[in-house]
Amino acid sequence: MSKITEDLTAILTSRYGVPAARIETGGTLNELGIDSLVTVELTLTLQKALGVPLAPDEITSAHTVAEIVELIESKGAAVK
Amino acid sequence: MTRAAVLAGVGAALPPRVVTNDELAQRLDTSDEWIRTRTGIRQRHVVDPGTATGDLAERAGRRALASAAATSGRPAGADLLILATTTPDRPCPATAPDVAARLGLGGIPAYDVNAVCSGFLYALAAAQGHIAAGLAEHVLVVAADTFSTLLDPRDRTTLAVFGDGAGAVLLRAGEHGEPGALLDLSLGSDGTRADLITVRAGGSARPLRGPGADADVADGDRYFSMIGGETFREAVLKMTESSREVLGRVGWDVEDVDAVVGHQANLRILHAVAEQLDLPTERLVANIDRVGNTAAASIPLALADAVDAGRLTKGDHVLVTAYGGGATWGAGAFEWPGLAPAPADS
Repeated sequence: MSKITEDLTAILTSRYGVPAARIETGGTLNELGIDSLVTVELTLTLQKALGVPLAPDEITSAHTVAEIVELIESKGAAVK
Repeated sequence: MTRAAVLAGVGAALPPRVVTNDELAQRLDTSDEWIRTRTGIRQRHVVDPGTATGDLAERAGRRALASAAATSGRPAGADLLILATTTPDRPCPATAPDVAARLGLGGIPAYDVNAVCSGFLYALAAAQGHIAAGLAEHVLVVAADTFSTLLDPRDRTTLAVFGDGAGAVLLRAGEHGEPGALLDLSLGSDGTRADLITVRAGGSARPLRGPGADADVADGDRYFSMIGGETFREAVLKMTESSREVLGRVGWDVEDVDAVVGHQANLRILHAVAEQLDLPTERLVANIDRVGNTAAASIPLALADAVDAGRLTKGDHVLVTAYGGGATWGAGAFEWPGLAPAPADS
């Protein structure tokens, strides 16, 4: 598991109570019970933690965790 | 060197009627749990018909003067009154002159400032300017709003968030470096984001009466509306940015800040700002659980609550920051002067 996947999984489990096992199944944020407010918080948190600029709608609740990790890695934040 | 604006008193006022989350849930499709987890709000105060912004402003102003008198041991007055509000008693004239008259302040200059939820910081800047220029010795800055008068009675989101209230501070001319002196202020605006937080109709662009009246104004356009997600994001980023700017100019590290009194828009916004600033959440001063978002009033109301609760002590490094409709935003810093709370009977 990449560092970014680990970080994102940790945020979703510890702060928002999403079971880790459900994240591994690859559902969208929406399917994980993440609403639009949390998506906004998550975008701000990732932007701060990983130092990548993220536009307002770049992460939506229609994205899966894998897609978000891919997006962030494409912005050059592979290693923290 | 110009004169400094120094905090000399603080006071607040809330209408007596409390609306709990459960009460809202009885008439709207919402719940106490939904509101609490998304906003941190448990209840808000709402005016009864017949009570206006000016009534709350008068009480808060009186209490700030009483706090100043209790602090200094001398009677307090003001030679200028600035009222920050988005909900004046009438569309015309401004509410501030009426508040000044009711406080018995004589024929002093008095005017309203509208910067929505950033209004208190804008009014603070105006007051600082008057003092620095030698135009005023004591400025009563009142921030009061009755957003319940703007809200759509069917909109569960805004009804859950907003409450009515007023807060006020008395600023006096003083020296730079003395406790209570306003150390720095940063203000900003972005008119391209006016639609984030707005009442679309009822102003000169879309009048509801007269020759240019729009006969087809949708019901929702007559009421206050807010684009929640985008407002959340913008509020966090702008409050963080202006706070960093002020901290940099004042020369404080984040660890040096004892209390952040942010605009009480949503507890999760305050927590997100703390995260962006690397500030422990214990340093956040929050009373939003009891009063909701009181718009312009929220910072001085939270300051007054913090003084009543003994949360702020002399010498504390205090950072204030807000984001509101306009869009407008700002931040400021001062070393807490140790103010006496307004006596209970004031």
